[in-house]
Amino acid sequence: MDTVTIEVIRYDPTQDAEPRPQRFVVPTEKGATVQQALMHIYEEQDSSLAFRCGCRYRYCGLCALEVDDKPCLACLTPLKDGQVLKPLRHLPVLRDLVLDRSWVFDTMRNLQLFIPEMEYEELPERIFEPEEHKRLMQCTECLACLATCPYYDYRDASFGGTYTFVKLAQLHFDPRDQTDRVAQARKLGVERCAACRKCQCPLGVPAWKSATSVLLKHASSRRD
Amino acid sequence: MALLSKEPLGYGNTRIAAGIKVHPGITAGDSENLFYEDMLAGGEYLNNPRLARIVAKESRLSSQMLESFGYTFRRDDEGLISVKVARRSGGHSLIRSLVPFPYGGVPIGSALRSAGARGQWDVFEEVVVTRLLTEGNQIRGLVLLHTKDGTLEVIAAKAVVLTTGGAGWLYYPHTDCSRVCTGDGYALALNAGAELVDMEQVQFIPFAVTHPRSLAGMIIGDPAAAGPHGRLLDKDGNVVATEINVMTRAQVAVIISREVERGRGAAHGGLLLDLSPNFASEIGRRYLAHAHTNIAGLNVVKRAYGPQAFKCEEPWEVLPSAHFIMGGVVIDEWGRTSVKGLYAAGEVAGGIHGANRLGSVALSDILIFGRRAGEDAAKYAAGADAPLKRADDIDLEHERISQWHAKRGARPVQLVRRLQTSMWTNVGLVRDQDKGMRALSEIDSIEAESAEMGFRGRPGYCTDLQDAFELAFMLQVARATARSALERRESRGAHARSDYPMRDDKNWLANIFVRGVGKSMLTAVRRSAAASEAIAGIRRATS
Ligand SMILES: Cc1cc2nc3c(=O)[nH]c(=O)nc-3n(C[C@H](O)[C@H](O)[C@H](O)COP(=O)(O)OP(=O)(O)OC[C@H]3O[C@@H](n4cnc5c(N)ncnc54)[C@H](O)[C@@H]3O)c2cc1C
Ligand code: FES
Repeated sequence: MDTVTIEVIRYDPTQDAEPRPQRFVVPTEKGATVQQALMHIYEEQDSSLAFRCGCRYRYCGLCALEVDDKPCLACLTPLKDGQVLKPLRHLPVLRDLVLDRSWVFDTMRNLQLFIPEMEYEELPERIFEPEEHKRLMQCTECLACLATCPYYDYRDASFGGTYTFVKLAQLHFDPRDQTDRVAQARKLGVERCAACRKCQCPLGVPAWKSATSVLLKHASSRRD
Repeated sequence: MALLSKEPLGYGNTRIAAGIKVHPGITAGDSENLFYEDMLAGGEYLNNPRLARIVAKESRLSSQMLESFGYTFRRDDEGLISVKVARRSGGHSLIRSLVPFPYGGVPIGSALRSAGARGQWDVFEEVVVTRLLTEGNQIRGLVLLHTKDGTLEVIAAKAVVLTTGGAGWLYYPHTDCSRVCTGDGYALALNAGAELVDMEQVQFIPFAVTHPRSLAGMIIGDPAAAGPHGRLLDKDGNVVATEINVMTRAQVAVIISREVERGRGAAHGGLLLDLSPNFASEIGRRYLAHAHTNIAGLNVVKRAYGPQAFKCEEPWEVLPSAHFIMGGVVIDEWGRTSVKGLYAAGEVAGGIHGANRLGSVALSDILIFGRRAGEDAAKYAAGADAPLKRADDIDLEHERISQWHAKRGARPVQLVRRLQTSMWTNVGLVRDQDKGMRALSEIDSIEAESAEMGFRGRPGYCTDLQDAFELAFMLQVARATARSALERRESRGAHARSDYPMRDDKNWLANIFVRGVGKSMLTAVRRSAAASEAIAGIRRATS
């Protein structure tokens, strides 16, 4: 049986002062993924390993982590010898690779990240959905983009970060939405994003091109 | 009011669905009646006709619901929903299924999540409901486990609506369903005294990936994915089936499994789906030109089988994969169960789709009955007495957890894997009496071993603990499924038996009901309410 050695950055807030690396030797095969290795470790080697797994392929976004410092989805990342697996940076860790995601829902409520309630009869029949909206709606909310954003820190409420800007831009492009999403983005510091462009989505959702840069452009034009 | 979910809100199978949604009436000649008849014929007359009628009537309304939450259906050049953005999905007699661009489940999940943030209700994310609390035959609340920190909590409630989804995970790795679909709702309902119907009817999507292991079970598509000229080949290249795209999911799944059982399977145990004959005709080429919208899992094919396969030039090895549970909690038109204050809606509810769900109807059904159950539950709760909590409500959970921490038997995940292997082997694609009996004895043995199962307790995000609660649910669902599969001594819809290979309308236009738990589970057979429509339908088909 072929094997590879990988390192997982473990963290148990009830025991560890600092995150600590742990090595595992795991079987591999053609097409093996990082997720497969994590499942193997949990089932066969170390039951205390915590990680998320939802759909096993691309759509739920729950398995996002960093492999060799690169934010990605565990279920889409090929398993290789020597890889280092870490939780997404800039985000609160519950245990090992599992992030606390509860703040996401609070953010949705606080910023009212939804279209207004409408009677069914009031819904527009004819919709010309902007291309940007279509692309942005493919966001799986995996949060990997936040780990690529140099300014984001979950403890800093003054800055929204890529994920929130994508959600705001989705609504900005939604013909049913009424709220001034650009003003919200401005309040959340989108102007800091000028000259940065480091935000990336592992699935290719155009976070910079169709979200951050659009909000930024509108925000800047309102400056005076 | 509170919304509860094992994952963050707005996930489950809905978020990973392809997003194809039925919207009847966009093709000339379509009608509510025709859609209803398709559902009954596809469901081979095990459907509860009243529920199917509601789906036929309210599917368009459910599309509006979805747009009111923030989803946007794909539009034609005039900005309208029309036949131009639709296709004929498996089992429908004409085009009435809206196709998303590029993948619809993710934005549907986000829209539902956003709508969940719109109201002022409480939200409990990442909690496992472990038990429903009842007083006599009436709901008074529930117990839940917070996976984040391992704490337990009781919520008093006048009414509970189960929307816990299906149980595809019973067949892992032979499933395209999400990890959370462990069938909890079926077991919660049984434990509370409600009844399940037709649990043997497990839909296997016929075309799923066989390898590599990391992608095994992932959906490629339903029979329509074969296109007009796609064919199935065995390991030696012999043609096993043609004209696949007009068959139901169940028919194709059975063809594949019968060939595989005869030893005709290819390297990874599947048959070969060959789309290349489509290149030979105009309509075939037109089909392939839109392969990316016609085949839900085309990108999975690319990943699993490479670029030649992606271009449909090479055959794909395929095996059916557990996809949807047609059976489920018995409900009426308002989602009410036989337990007062307990409702069920969505995949956890049974009877709507009979023996086979037509493609794209689930995403209507979950909204239609979700709305109905919610409305009725609110009305009911307004008039019901305030439920009482009792000091000892959590004792059972505490007791179970401390037992698990004290014992040193098998880990829950090991027993879960054993159960899944047995379900796939014994209550999978083709069943028989011996397999059914083997499944039951394996369920008994796993249940006995689970009394000794143990793991080390740790505060916060303990996957063993969630596995342990889920195993108990899965055992109940497995038993209900195996018992129903043994009971139905015919082949119908998704239920294929090698010892009773024919559909038997004389004796089995009937539903199978399950009640009770563990070894005292009881089954009952009652004539299907759609039986008379079946006879009329059969007469129409033969005249
Ligand atoms: C890969 C795939 C593609 C599909 N594509 C389509 C399609 O294109 N069109 C179509 O019509 N249908 C499709 N289906 C079917 C359809 O997606 C499902 O039937 C439907 O989404 C089920 O919705 P639901 O709300 O009932 O359950 P789900 O969306 O699965 O939600 C169930 C929820 O209940 C929660 N839950 C479960 N147990 C507990 C518990 N004990 N405590 C607390 N919470 C719990 C889960 O966390 C989850 O959030 C597809 C299915 C799959 C698997
Ligand atoms: S497990 Fe769902 S995206 Fe990776």
